[in-house]
Amino acid sequence: MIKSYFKTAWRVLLKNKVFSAINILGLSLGMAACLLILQYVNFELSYDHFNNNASGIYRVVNDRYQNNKLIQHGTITYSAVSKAMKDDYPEVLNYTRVLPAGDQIITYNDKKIPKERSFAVDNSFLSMFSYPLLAGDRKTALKEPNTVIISETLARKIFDVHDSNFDPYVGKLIKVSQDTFPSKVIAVIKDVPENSFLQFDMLLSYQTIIHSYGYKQAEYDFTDSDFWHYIQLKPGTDYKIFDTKLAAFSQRHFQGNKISGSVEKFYLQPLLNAHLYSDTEYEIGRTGSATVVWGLLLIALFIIGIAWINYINLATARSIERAKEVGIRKVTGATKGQLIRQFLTESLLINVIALAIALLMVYLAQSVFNSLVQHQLSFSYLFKKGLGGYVISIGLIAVILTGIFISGFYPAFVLSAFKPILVLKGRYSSSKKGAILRKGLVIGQFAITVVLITGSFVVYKQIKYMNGQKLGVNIDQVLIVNGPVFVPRDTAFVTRANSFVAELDQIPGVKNAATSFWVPGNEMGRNFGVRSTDSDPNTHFTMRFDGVSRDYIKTYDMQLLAGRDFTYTDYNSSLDKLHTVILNQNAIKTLGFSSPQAAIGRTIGRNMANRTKKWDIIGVVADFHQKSLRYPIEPTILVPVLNIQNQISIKVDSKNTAATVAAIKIKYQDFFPGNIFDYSFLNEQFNAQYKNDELFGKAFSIFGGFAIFIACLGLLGLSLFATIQRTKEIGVRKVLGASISNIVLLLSKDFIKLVVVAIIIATPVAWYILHNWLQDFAYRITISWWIFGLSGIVAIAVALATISFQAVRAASSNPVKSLRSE
Amino acid sequence: MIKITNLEKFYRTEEVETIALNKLSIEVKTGEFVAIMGPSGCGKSTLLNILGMLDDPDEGSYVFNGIEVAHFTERKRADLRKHNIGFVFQSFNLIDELTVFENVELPLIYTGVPSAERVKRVEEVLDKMQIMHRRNHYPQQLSGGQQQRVAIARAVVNKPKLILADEPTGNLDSSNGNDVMELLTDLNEQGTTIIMVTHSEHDARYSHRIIRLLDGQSVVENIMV
Repeated sequence: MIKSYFKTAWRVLLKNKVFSAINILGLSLGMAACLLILQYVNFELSYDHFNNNASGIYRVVNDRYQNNKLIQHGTITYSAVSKAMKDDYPEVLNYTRVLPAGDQIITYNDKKIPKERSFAVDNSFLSMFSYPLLAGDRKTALKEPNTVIISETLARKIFDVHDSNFDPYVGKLIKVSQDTFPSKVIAVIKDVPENSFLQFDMLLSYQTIIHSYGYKQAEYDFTDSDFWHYIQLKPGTDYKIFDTKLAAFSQRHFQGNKISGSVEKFYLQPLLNAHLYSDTEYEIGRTGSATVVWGLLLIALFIIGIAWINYINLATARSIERAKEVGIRKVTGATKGQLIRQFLTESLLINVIALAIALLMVYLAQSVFNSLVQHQLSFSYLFKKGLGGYVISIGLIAVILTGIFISGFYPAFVLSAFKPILVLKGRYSSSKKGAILRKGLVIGQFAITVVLITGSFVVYKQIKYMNGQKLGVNIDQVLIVNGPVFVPRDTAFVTRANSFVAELDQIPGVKNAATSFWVPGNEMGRNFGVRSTDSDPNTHFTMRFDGVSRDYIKTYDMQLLAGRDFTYTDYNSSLDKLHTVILNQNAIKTLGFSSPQAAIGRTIGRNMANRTKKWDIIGVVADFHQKSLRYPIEPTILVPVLNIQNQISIKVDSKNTAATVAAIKIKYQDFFPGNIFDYSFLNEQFNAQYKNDELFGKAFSIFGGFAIFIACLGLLGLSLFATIQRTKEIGVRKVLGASISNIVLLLSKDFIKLVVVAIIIATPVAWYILHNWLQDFAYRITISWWIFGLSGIVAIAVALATISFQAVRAASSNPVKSLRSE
Repeated sequence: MIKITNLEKFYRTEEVETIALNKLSIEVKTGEFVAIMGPSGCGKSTLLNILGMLDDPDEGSYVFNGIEVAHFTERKRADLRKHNIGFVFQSFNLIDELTVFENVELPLIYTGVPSAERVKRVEEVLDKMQIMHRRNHYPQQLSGGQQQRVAIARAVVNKPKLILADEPTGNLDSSNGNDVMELLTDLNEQGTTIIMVTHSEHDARYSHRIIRLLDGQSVVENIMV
């Protein structure tokens, strides 16, 4: 019986080659798109699931409020927080402090290895997280100061290891950046997986920070808030209930705003949410976007849905053709159940063939897709454990089975319900209900398509807007050179830094050079207690600050609105002697000055290390974007501080860039021997902030294209069918004098009506979705009506082209032929 | 074998109600060969469909082999039908996607006959219909006469007690038509009851009895001698 089902299904497939091809092509494209997207979605959802304790680990989030306004939202907080939580609450099983230690240069004998990402962590980090050790002892590692754990890859680089025995290297001494002491390699860790939120090549002992670097506040302190914490709750603890207890924790340790000047609110963020659901500032891990992930998943389901709708539509539209067969089968004894099973077999066969082709397509498109999403994805990611266990993978199988079942069952149900006598006597006409459903489904397909087209336009426009917007800082042709690591911070430091920058200026091709703590695109630091000394001493504001060298404003073409730029005299190697600041417009407004000019010569107070110091406002610059346009401009203070160890910005001429870079390199090595010269272009670095948005935009347009194509395949099938049905009518009309355009119009009219209805339905939906998406951006485009008009025109044009393809052929054929064939 | 009493069937559209069968009573005995004749629209086909349990009557009684089937559910009718009744149509109604062999095999599949047994029975009946050499051909590759023989083979492969033929020669030339009528006569002689709707007086002469219908009522019955 089953053999007979398959045999029939196979022959039906072969006999109706055009319809089979349309269905299989549509389904396989849909499935391929779906599978690719699912790989990505599963990858993104799999972050940190490799940790055995994943569901019990949380990050401590610390929000700060000043004058009832949220002034900082981050996982960055005071060093005492996690230990205090462990002491205060029995639910806390374990904790670790995490301090990003930046990119380190490792020295071993004569070998220098640049840019190794590192964190300083407690020993408990190793038992809370599941980063497997290849050598060393998890229980004791990192307990002592001056010990480090290095990754497998780093170990291979340092010690030229060629086998997988790392035991001999435990106990070796290496030098980390400009440490004056050696560090002992205490363990070798397996390379951190790609789906780890924290990415590192090396772990330093947290004790090194406290004891060897003498950073006493790192131990247990409620004043400096530069630390990150992970805590592990006892199994069965509900973190939301735990969160409610933390108001008391804040009160106990901070007494309102008494201790830190702002109200501190604490709560926990599940480790598994850190990658996708984190919107915190000063982020230390790899963040993605849940909107992008779920949006893509939705698009994947839409695309495959469109392909299944094609199957339903074509199968039911062709039911008249199949009706005779159904009649005969019924007469020869087939039951309804047997017929349903037969039609389901057909749908299963088509889906299985489509799946096989889809797998091949995915295999071929994998590398292109991987470069689009910039991850090494593969089929294995389809079955990765992700958010909620294997829900997505199981869901995928369930969705495919359901899709096959529904798309097969509905036509099966329709076809098997035919009354055999009517059919066999030729008195059968297709049901109105079926036609209405088909129309509804086509409207649905095109509504989805129009939403996707509109989405592509809007996302593209927003990205273009962000890239084209004047930032207030000119980041073109700015070379960013990483500052030297190995440089003594002595009294000659300022002079040396100054003369390095000055000598850079001498290089032909260098327009300006400057140093700063942070360059555009980086998150600046914050001052929490800023006020105008003329105003109420109890009103404080939070402002961003950056320490910049003399030419910073010139290097970035920033616009000075009032006052003057920094000069030599503003700088001093003794930080206590600094007293001038330049503010941005926003800061002036925040402090209540009537104009930039009015602020010049006035003073502000900055709360630093528990004492207030007065600073003279010497200049005001126009507002500038430090971060992407997703974020608003904040009040900002520029302070004249030289720090050659961070990044050096060099504005270069667009001509002979290579020669200029080479000259800079020589100068760098002259001044800072033993350091590694390493540079990048700022605009690339800055625009990397839009990576997620660009991915979203590309995904929208690529998969939107898929959706349109598949929907058009369906339309092609339906119009082909409608044309066959109306062959005789077309013949008669032509004999009576209808022109080709009359006929094309006749055949297209009905479909175009559906597309128009789809556009009407899709417009508000698209507006709603995109309007909400845009709310994430502080600076955004307004969705103008012409975008919807354009999307509508695209949809109609594509649909019309599809239908006319068939209609013109039918309209141009010789009417005598079509009439004779009746 | 068949006894219908006061059978009524209406067809309704939004505007009109047409009476297809009007209190019709007919009896057919086992082993009979009956022809039903009448002008277009007299209810012949409706009657045949009800007799074949493809359709149910609105009023009246239909007793088949002593069982009242007038108000049987679709499933029960289908079950009774597939074991007892074979159909032959004017337009053959073979499935284009299936070969001759597979077309004939179909009823056996639906009645759950095991594969080996199916092959035996299909070959037997194809042999009898002299169409064995065409077993692997598709319907489109056959002449009308051959197609009708395949259709008859399919109708009889399950050894039904009753064959309902709806103008079985309507699409055939006279020579092929006569062959088909001979086949039906043979089957009848071997014990199968046959009820045939026809327009052709020539074909009707092969039967034992002609029932003439007009406006859904039986008007004349001719006994053939």
